[in-house]
Amino acid sequence: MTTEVTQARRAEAPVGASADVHVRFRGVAKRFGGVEALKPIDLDVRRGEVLAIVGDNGAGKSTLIKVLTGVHPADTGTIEIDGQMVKVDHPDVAKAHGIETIYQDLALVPTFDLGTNFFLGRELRKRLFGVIPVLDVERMRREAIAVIQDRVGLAITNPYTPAAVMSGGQRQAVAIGRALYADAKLVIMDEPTAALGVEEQEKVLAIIDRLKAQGVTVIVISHNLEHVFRSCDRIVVMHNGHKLAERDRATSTRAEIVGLIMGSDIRQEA
Amino acid sequence: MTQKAVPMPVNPAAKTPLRFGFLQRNPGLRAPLGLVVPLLLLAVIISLVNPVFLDARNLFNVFRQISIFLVLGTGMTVVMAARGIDLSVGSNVALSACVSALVLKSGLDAGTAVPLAVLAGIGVGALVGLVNGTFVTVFKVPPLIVTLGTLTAVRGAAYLVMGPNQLRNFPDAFSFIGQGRVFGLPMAGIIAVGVVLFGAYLMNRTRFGAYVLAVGGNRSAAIRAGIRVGRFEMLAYVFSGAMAGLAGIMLASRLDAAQAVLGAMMELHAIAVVVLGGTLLFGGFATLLGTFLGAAFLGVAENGLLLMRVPFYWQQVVIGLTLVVAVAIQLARFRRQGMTTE
Ligand SMILES: Nc1ncnc2c1ncn2[C@@H]1O[C@H](COP(=O)(O)OP(=O)(O)OP(=O)(O)O)[C@@H](O)[C@H]1O
Ligand SMILES: [Mg+2]
Repeated sequence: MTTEVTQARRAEAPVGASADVHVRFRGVAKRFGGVEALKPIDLDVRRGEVLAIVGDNGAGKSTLIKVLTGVHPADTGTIEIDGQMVKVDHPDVAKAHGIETIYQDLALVPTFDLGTNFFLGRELRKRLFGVIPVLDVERMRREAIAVIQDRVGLAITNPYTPAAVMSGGQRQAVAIGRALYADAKLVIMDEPTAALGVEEQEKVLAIIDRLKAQGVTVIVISHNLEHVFRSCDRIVVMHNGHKLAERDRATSTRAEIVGLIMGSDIRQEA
Repeated sequence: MTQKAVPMPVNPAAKTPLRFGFLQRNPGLRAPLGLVVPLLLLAVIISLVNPVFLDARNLFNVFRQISIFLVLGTGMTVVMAARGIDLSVGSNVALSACVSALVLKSGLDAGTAVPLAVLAGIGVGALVGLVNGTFVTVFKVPPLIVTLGTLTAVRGAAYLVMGPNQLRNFPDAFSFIGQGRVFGLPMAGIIAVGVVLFGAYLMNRTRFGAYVLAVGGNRSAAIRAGIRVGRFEMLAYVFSGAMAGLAGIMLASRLDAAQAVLGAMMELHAIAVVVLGGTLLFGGFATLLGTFLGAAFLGVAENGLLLMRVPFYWQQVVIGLTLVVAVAIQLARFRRQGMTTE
């Protein structure tokens, strides 16, 4: 039944649509052993929009993101970024195209502090006595603090704290700051407000607004429909590895989205 | 890395230094300090029981003894930082020592043979590391199993190249490595301290160290950051292997003899030294000062047992128990800080 839905949607997917498409998925699928985590999916992400991806646990939201970021390269299908066909088979490829991800687990090394986590994979170096290459630990720490305080809006009290003992908000700030520093054109956030206090959730929503104001495309995975309706332009509903529906926030309601997530609105969708 | 860091103006406000103590800023130096008092206490007790402990000659010997553990421990620190373990180092010491000795005794003149023997010893050690690293990173066999296998296989290889014999009487230039003195200091100790300092530089101030630690601390985060984790894990084992090779050369030089039984159980020493020092068993954090103090502690303890004429088997009991207790203490301390080991 759900398979028919996908096929129907694929047939009506716009072909050669407008130039404001930032990322275009066509027939992208991924399986893990026996699990079809992602059944062939078509999706256009528009430049500068905030796109929400919602759906039940195990619906394939994270997998959809991971095929774009190169963590789990797609088995089949194509991905276009900025109108260019790109084979995203490694995280470096996505990064080279200005795509930065803030993962559900934030991808921090628990024993590393702010600076080393912030610059993980792109460490700053200097030369000692003009010859010996050494990590510029002080500069990494300084710049991490600057970005987090200025652009994420979180004051750093102790920059030597390892990530394992940071608060949830601090960890989130490090992860978001890291993406901002990389000059991201598209920021992906997997459950950015989960596990945060109310005040810190507000900060994350403000950051999303700020990214949008700067013309950055944002994809947000969220279970929190209140947040989705406050900060997103469009909503994609995933169900069982399918893209079940695509809705504009302006013309949709929370009740409708809830219904879709539960999978009870399939008939209406078809 | 393909991604270049985007230069960004530094916020002047962030330049106002936040004030933190030296030790607060350097957890690698802070963590092992807990070992200093037990070490001093141990030294006092031993010297009270047997004042010979404080003789310059005895301390010189302790230092020379420790030097091998320092070299092995440095390699082990790097492997453990990556959440690995290398049980093959003791056997690797034997194989490297034997190969070096064979080169020394191959009939070449000393001027050629000695540098060649050193290269061969370190090279063979690194090669064993490469085998370990290949099984761990390419075939995804758990490091404990891989290096347990090579612990046996490499010991066998040592007997294959050397037979049951012993080679002795190496050229003076070779003996200098393990027995020589520079300004009254043991050459072996100077090499060892150099190795530890190099290890500290590697782990704290290079990308190699940062990536090895990242692999150990959060492998998937490292992968997502675009780090080629397999490469750095591999290099960790190669480094450990090369250090075992160097230790083999130092040992053969000190004994002026090489045979296939050398280095037995040294892997246990190396691991004990590293864990005692505070390097995390489950990766992500390494302290070379800790490895240094750990080696000093174990070296002094062993020397003390010797001076107190405790039978050799007791030394084995002590080393084994030290390892287990050190791990227990490390885990307890870690839990107390609210960190999990997973
Ligand atoms: N690395 C993996 N190996 C095996 N199976 C996986 C892997 N990643 C995801 N899956 C499976 O694929 C399916 C989709 O998982 P995915 O993580 O994309 O769901 P999700 O929508 O993000 O769920 P949640 O809301 O719980 O994060 C699930 O059945 C999951 O068990
Ligand atoms: Mg998920």
